[in-house]
Amino acid sequence: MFNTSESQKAKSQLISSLSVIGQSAASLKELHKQLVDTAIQNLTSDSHHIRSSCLSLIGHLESHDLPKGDNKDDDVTDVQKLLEKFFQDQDSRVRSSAFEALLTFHERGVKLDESLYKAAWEALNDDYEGVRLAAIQVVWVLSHLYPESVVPVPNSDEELRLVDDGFVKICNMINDISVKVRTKAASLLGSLHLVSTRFLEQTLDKKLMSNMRRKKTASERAKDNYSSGVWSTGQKWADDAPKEELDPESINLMNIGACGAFVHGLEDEFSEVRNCTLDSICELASQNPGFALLCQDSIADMFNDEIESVRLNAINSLKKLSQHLELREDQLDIMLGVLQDFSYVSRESLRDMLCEMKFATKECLNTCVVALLDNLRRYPEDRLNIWKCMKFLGKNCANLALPLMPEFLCLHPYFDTPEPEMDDPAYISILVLVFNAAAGNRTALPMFQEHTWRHFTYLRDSIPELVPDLKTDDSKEVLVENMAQVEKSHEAATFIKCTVEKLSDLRSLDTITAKQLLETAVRDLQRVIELDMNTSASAECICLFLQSQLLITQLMSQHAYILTGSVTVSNLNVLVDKVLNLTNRLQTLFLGLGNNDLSLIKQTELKALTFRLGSTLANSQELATQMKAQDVYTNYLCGLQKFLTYTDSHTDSCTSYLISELVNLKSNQLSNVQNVLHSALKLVRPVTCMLMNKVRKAYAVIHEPAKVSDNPIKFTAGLTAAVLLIADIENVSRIENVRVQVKYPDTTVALTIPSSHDVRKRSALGHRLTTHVLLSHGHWSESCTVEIGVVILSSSAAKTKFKTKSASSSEEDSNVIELCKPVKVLISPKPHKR
Amino acid sequence: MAEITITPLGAGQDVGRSCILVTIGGKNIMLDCGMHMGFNDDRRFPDFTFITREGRLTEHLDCIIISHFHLDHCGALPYMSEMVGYDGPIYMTHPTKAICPILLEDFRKITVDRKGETNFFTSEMIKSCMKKVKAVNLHEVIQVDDELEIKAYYAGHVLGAAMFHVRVGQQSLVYTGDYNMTPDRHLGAAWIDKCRPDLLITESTYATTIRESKRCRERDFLKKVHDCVEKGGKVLIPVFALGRAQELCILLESYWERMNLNIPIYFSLGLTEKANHYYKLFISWTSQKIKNTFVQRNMFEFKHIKPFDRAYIENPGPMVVFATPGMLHAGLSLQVFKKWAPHEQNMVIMPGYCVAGTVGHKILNGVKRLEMENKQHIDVKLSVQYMSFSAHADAKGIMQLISWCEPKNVMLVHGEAAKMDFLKNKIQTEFGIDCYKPANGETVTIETQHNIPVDISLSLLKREASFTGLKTPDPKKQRVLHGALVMRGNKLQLIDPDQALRDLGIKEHNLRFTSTLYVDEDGASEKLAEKIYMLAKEKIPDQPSQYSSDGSVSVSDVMITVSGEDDDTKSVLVTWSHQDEDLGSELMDIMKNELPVIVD
Repeated sequence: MFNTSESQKAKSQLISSLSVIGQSAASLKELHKQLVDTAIQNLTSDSHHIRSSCLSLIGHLESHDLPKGDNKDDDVTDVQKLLEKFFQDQDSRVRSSAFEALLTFHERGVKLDESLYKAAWEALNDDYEGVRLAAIQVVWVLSHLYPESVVPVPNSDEELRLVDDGFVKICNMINDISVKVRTKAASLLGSLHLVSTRFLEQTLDKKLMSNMRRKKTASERAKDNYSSGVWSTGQKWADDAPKEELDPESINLMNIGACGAFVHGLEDEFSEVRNCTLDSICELASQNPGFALLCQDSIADMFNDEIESVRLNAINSLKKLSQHLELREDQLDIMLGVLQDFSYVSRESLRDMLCEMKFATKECLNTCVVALLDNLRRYPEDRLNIWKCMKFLGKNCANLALPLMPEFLCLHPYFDTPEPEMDDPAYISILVLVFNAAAGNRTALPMFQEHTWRHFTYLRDSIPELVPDLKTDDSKEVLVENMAQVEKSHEAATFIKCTVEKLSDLRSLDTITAKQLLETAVRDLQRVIELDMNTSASAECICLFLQSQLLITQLMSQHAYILTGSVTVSNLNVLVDKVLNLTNRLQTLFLGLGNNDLSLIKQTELKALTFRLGSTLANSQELATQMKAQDVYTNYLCGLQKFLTYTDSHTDSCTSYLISELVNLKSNQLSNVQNVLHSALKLVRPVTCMLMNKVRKAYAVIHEPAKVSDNPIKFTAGLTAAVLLIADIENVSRIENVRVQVKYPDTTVALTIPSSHDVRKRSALGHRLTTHVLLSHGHWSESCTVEIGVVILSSSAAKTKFKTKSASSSEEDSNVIELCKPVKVLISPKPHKR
Repeated sequence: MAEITITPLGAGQDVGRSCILVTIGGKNIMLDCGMHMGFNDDRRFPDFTFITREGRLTEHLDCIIISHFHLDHCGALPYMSEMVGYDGPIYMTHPTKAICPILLEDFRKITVDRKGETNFFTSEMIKSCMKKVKAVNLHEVIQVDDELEIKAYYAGHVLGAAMFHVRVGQQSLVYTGDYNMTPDRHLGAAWIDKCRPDLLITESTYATTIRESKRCRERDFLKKVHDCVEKGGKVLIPVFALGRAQELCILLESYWERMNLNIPIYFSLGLTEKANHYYKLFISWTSQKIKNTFVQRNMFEFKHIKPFDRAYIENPGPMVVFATPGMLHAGLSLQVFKKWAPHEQNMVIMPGYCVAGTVGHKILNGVKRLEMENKQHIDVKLSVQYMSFSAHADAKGIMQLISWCEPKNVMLVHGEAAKMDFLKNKIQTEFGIDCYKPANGETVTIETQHNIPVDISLSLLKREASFTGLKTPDPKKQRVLHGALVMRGNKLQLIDPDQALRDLGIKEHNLRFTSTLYVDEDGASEKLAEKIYMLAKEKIPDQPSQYSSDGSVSVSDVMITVSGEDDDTKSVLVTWSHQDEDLGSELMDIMKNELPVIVD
């Protein structure tokens, strides 16, 4: 086929398919060899299609570990030499394929030869962007491979390290004519960590001039103002008038080499380039504290970019560099402007940034606090986040905060000031700051007035996570406080352990004692949940489990009647459903349950189901219902059996009995089934579970819409209104199971799947959902609240479902589990006007 | 040698009245046809008598190219086409064609109706002038006639501004008009490909300036406006109708959007409204952000900016007003200024340059008490701010454009002579190319290299490729192609020699070189022949060598015959045809060096 085909396109397609075949048969070295040889023969073809596909085949398939004896290295370089020859092919597409083939080599772990460097950087001046794009990557790869080898500088005797030279060359490409190349260059720069500081510092260099006279940049002016201690009183006409004359010779107009590369990248027309440049600056600065200081101004400048994603990127970059930086007032001024931004995400990320920043002076802290209070006034819904930010400000800047204390607390040397309103969020913010600062610096404590202490006690109780304990003995260090926190968690953990241990002999007790014991345990655990953050998930998990056991004991107490049919089915079903609901939540919400725990939960489920089947068989007159119930049950049992054998976990007597007996039974022997159930139910005992792993609970926090606003959202009935929903979802491993639930006052419920690009990953298990919830309804006479919540589809509920005719309507409803309390939103659909 | 001659009629070492005459490849082109704002007499228009003393210009010009709609680039167009007389094509981009007549009409109104000048072009003339305009799209190659073609590139600066690439045969030039290399809120940056023209004519307004990032200025501007309205003050921004006004509108609009402010912003009616309409239409000419937002909405459909009414001047509460004209010398902006000046919480922001003598210039220089025409006084208590929003490329930008398009010569126009000197030096040292800065009326001639195109027959080329194509390409080695150069009519052709011979009916003559070397070596002549054979094989491995039984060696087409008795000196006869001259002499050298040759 290959030799007969005339068409060049067909030939090149053939070669590409051969390349794919070769890649899929990865182990056939001989085949590869053969293919590569064919490709090399075809390199002389006069069609660029064929040449470039041959080159890419060589790139993909040429392997260096052919059994060729001792001249292995020669072989590799031979092929690279061969490719190098094509760097100057007459067709640009072939040139770029040659570079791409080299890159594929690199990806496959073949070491590229250093001698290629010269040819690669010469190709940076190629007329075609595809070639430049590939060549720039080759230069980058080589800079990584041979950072320390030395290359001569053309037209001089100087020599440079290769990584420096490569850096300069790539910097140069930020001035390229094509956007793609600029973007690539900007993003590649970031990973060249080994570049010398000398070159790095040049990248931010930009001298301004006006009519041949030196001019200072705004940031330099601000810096001068700051260092001289004098503040300009508003800008005058020609305030930035140029000062000294410049020597025409000394001015560098061309962005040659690294000079001003990043400045140029940040001023680029396209946001892609700006974003990539920011990323690179951030990465390089995190490696190099000196550079971090230099680039601070440039990044701060980007806070005013016209495109939001760039602004956000700038904020996040600065946050990442926080450990190297100290903010000055003039920079802070620029940044705090973002706090007035309408976008919640911008404000939030700026506050997160402030949490980690160090400030130079107390004025900085003061302006920062003022700006945050202003933010609070404009956007009251940011309340919680602002308090959190205040907490960190207090913690990090305890020393700066001290001289500002009197101002913050409105203290006056002679007069008693009126007691501020306790419910005022602004006052709370100040207090959070003050208390956190005071925890770090105890000299502040005597300044507190009597009402401040009263408010402290109140806040300590209402928002303990934001207010540290100040009442501890003055001699104690802050560290001790942290220790206390740890100790407390520890105590809580041991308490939980004790509680559970007490229940270990549960199965041997009689029903009534067991019930009492369980009740106390549940009560204890519920208190623990409230008290300690660290262990609350575990506590809650055990608590839910014990509650289900409690319900099982209730069922047990009734089991005598069940089979005789004297207990009403509905009464029993309520209990069973409760148990199922609990087990369901246990399986869905908690992450990190061990196999043992899971098997216990599933067995509890089984018990509940057994009760249900027993009662159904006893009470129902219809054979069909009985059969169906039994089917569902057997299915579940089979599933459970598989699970248990797979995980090899412990089974209790009831389960093992059921499994051994029922699996063999045929569904038509209903009376037999009934007998087995009868004896099985006698074996049912409540059990306890010892949580081995630390579990995490899935939950969500809705940031927006924040609270019931008095102004209803008005829209025409029948049409839709969009409400912005911002929520953080934590500890959910399968984010695709999350749904947004809207409950209307008429109890209709709408579940929507948030689209995947609305969900952003923030950490390993944390996600941020930013979406618009569409509301729609018929006409109402007055406004009413709808509930918007974030829910998760339960993972196991479907299997245990036993459909009775009545229950089918609310099925979807019971399959979901709430991740947080729903938020109420006031809406009022209006009749449409004609 | 071919040449390009350029004569600036305006904008030579000067700003304003851009008008450049170019003769390229025998075609006469006028680049821009602007007026000078500084003059009110005949000097405001370019001196068209330079082209011809009397009569119409049509037969002297092949086309006119207008780069953008600013009056200093198109203001003299109706005068030239209608009053002097020109009927040829006028090329400009679509937005320029749309906006240009509005500005011309406005300009006419001011000069004729306000200043009462006569002998000026009329509305009719503007209309008939615009009928001669042909609109071009970006990157579209327009064939003006058989040889002359033009192509427009994006230039930033204002809506519809373009750079033009003009080509006649092999000669080409690029005229930039005004351009901007850094993007702003509503327009992108200029872009050109590596077209390698013979000449680049570039503006050089900011030849000696390197500017700060746009963001910094914008932030200042927004912060000032925001602080002022926050305190309940009113902000007046005097603007000219087109260009900066739209940029500032977009800037404020998006800031209002971002900060969720609801303080009213007003825009004075009339000209600006009409202009905004065109901005809405030509979205494809705007910046990345506006283009992206267009998917959802048109950014020029302002949400927060409403038309202004004179009655609003007295309204209480904060507001932002854009009013024309930009230098506070007359009209609405002055009226608003008079009302607002005495209150110190108010602010006026001057976004551009002010001519001396205007109210704008006075207050920028800190005059606190203004005298108005009817002996009234105004106390200027409001704060006065200056912001420079100008969309010209700075020195760095100009250099970048040059490095992008790689011209062979550069010419600077549209700038001050002293500033040009600096840039000229820089261009000459950095790029090593010639740079010119002619004054008005001064003619510059630029010699261009004239290549002679030669047609090559395909079969010859293919045959050559098939010879060398068998080997892997080696870029370091030059290839030789043998062919016959034939002149047919006025075209040159390179064809296969055999074919040429056949066509012309000439018999082929062969030229062979023969040379004999005397080698003093013992042994049989066959032995020496074998030695030569081995030598040839070793030294010239890429040529096929053969050793035939009759004692002769052939290396490619070179024949080597060795003769002589066993113990005698041997004579080595080497012959080669003149096509193999290289090989033959190389072989000779080798033999001379390696064998004990007797030199007579």
